[in-house]
Amino acid sequence: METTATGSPECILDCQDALIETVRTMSGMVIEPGWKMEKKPDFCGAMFLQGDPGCLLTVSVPKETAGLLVSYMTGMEESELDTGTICDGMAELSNIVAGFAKARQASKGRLLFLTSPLCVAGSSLHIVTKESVGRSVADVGSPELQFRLEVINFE
Amino acid sequence: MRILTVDDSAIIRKIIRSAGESLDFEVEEAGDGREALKKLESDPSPVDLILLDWNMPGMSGLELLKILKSRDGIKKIPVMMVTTESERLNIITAVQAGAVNYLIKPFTFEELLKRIVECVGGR
Repeated sequence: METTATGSPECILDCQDALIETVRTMSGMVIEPGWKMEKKPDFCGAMFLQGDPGCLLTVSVPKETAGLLVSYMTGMEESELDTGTICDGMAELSNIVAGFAKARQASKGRLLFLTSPLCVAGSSLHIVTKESVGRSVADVGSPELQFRLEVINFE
Repeated sequence: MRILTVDDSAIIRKIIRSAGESLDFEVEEAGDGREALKKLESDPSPVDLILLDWNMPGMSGLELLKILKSRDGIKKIPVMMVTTESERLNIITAVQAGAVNYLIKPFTFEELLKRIVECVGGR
């Protein structure tokens, strides 16, 4: 896990727990912290969480991870999945992770409100922010799956 | 038996459809609250259970739940919330508004099946 001085180490750890639990529950697959993201992401599920401070939560994955995950979640063959279906799955994944993290953060006194999730699809996706912006990053994975979680604070 | 899933996520609707069909239920889908209301008011076939997301664009699941519970003809249909909103206050709010069950995402397929059966049991 990496975080800037004004990042949210507690929030990214809550999101990491949420992602591990969501992937296990919805797909039956096990992922864990400490796996370095090696491939460039092709799908990025994202949600703005309104609050004081609010933040942007993103879950980025390479296409292989996205296809496998959505296939396991839905029972559909990977060959049946089009980009729209995968994007819907990634948006829903970020929605569930955000909901889980929101509840954890609320128990610590930080009130956040969910907005509508979205997904960006492309190749070699990466997020660039100004240096002063608080940002925390965590990679989670397994031999088959690679996830990059990011929480970007809006002060 | 016939169930209606109301969720803006096609993936969640697909999972609920699979669960419903594995129980030999007919499954109808709506992507938002307005579409759900239109279906319920225009389709004469009775629905035995509504599975309702909370956070949807336009009309929230809670708003739809309150409307459903205020309308003759559809107010007796049991509603199960299926949502990421997991805080106690939200659960209480939904139950007070008339939800009979509350399933928090993420859920396992087995848990979803169990809750559907609980909701329609005895009908």
